[in-house]
Amino acid sequence: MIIEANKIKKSFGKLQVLRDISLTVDEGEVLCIIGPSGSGKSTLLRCLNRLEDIQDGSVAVLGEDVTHTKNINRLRENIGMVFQSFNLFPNYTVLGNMLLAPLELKKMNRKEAEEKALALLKKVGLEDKKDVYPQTLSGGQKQRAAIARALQMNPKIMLFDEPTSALDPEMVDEVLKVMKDLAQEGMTMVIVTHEMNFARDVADRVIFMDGGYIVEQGTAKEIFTAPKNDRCRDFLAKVLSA
Amino acid sequence: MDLFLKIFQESLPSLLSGLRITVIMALLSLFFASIVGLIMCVFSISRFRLLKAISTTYIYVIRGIPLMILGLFLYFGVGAALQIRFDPMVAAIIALTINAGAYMAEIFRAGIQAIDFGQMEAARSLGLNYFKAMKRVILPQAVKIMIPSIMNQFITTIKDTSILSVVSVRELTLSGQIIIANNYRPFEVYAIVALMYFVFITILTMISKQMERKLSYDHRGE
Repeated sequence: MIIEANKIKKSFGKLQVLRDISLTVDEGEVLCIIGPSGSGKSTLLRCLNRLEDIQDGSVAVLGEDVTHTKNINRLRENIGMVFQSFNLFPNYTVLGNMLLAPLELKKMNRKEAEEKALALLKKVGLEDKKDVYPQTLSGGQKQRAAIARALQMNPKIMLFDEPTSALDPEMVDEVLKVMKDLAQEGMTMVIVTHEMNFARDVADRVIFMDGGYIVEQGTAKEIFTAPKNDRCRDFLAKVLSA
Repeated sequence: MDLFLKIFQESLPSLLSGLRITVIMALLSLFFASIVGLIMCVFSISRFRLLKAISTTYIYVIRGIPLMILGLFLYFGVGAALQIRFDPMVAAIIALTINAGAYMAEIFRAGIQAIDFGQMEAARSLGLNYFKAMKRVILPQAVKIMIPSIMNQFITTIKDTSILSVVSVRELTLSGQIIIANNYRPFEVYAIVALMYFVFITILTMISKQMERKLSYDHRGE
């Protein structure tokens, strides 16, 4: 088990966002988390690399206790994260964004890091953009660059927090394609998404969350063709008809 | 015109030495104010309530007190209470530092908090620790936003040095007043004094514009 969450509870003030969440992810597995907004999907994802602290329960990633680890930074090097709003660093070029962490953390020397970065940029189709600043990129390009930046650290797990929700519709596919390729290469991925078709095609397993609980989980086929839970069925009926 | 030149020539040495004091006062207090401001800014964005409270109170109090009163209080009030005689220059620099430090703290805090929190999260999720993320990602962006406000505060503080003539620091303004007491030529002398402030501040403004240009990274197609 590469990710193991056990009875996590998390609240923001009086608002309890996660109630008793347990989940496991195997190596190489692609897990999609779906559910209405406010259901706690993003918060759950953010608990996996401790961008949010949990109040109860435990999270273990790569065999390490996320809450109590002495070296969260070392652990985070192995957990790539992609945000809805890209969060590229505007004060660096695309290449600079990719080189910052590996060089600052002395993970690679400059030559190695640059070679790797160029290979990754080629993979996401941005090799001609390496020297431009993020402001000049389109949304889809920004997100592909952000994925490349996360991959540059050689993570063992990739977390995606609604990676296509801030994109114009015509740019969604280019990002999903990169993610699909990544899934096919065997990357362990946890993806919070509203792209149901993508989840159906790519996910090994799907989790439906509502009100801070995992309401239903199963293979993509089980969830999308025969959801057992009413709320899950309602939700899917709504989003799939749209 | 001849008369003006004559007054200019006569008063110049004394005014220049006043200007020198003004420059020293301004630069020293800005230097210390930057340090005070930085510390207070770190306090105000820290997680510890006590530090936050210290910074908030400091800024709140200083904002509500005129600089002249602060100077008078330090030089005469504190001096009398502690039975010491402050060097007027020292008292003036302390007053300016305390005053400008509060505003600098606010400028720094606002600059850092203006940066989208997602930047910090992205940097941290790559494995950078808080300080590296601050140094490489947040501060470079924040400083760029801060520069115009910092420059504004620098200029304000330079002008504020003239207020401290009330504690008998012989800076530019007081030097001018002393000359006027002797030659009864307020029109000419104050004009020269004003011009000197103007030139000093203009030079600083030009330097700041230069810095702003150097630090900008987002003009397109460069």
